[in-house]
Amino acid sequence: MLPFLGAIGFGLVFGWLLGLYDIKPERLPAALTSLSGASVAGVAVTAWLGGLSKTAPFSVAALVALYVHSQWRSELRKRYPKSTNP
Amino acid sequence: MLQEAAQSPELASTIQKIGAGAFGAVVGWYVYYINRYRKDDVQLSDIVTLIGAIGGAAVLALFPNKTDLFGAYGIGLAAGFFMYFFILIVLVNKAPGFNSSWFIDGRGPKLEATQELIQGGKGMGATPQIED
Repeated sequence: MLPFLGAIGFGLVFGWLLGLYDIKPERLPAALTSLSGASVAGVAVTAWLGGLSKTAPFSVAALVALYVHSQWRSELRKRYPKSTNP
Repeated sequence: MLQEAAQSPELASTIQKIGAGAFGAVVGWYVYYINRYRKDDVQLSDIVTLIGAIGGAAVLALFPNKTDLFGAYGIGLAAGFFMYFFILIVLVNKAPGFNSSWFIDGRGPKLEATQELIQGGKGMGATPQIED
């Protein structure tokens, strides 16, 4: 049970960190490549540390954290538009 | 003790699991701290470095893979990381003049008449930008 929860913990932290990565439309292919590369690295580390079966909870937790983080940031940007003060 | 557990994972005791969790919590806290004081936009190399810190050689040396110790470390990691974030949210929302917009780009209130940024002064990690 503990390794399962540990994989979820890894996934949550990893997904949250991925959410920091700003995807700019003009650099979409590069951003997607980077995110894919980082995700493969994260899954590989989890498979190594926790076993192949732990990559599923890791991936789900990472996706949830990524979604929550990006939604939160997007909501904040909507609520507080960029300041126009000099 | 951790080395003994590394050789015989099934012997990991409660105190060893607590230790692994606490170690993970410190690493998680520090990962958020480092990320918070990052100066540039996030690069792929930053994330790869963090993966190295989270699951790197030092961690593998202490906690054998596929064991409860690894699990406890992962739980502690998330606990430390999100505890930092939670405390930050509470402090930012309690600080006068600050609100959640601080999380976007560090917005805060203007300095009051009796306040100034001191040349060479340094807060926790960030050097103030003083305009002449």
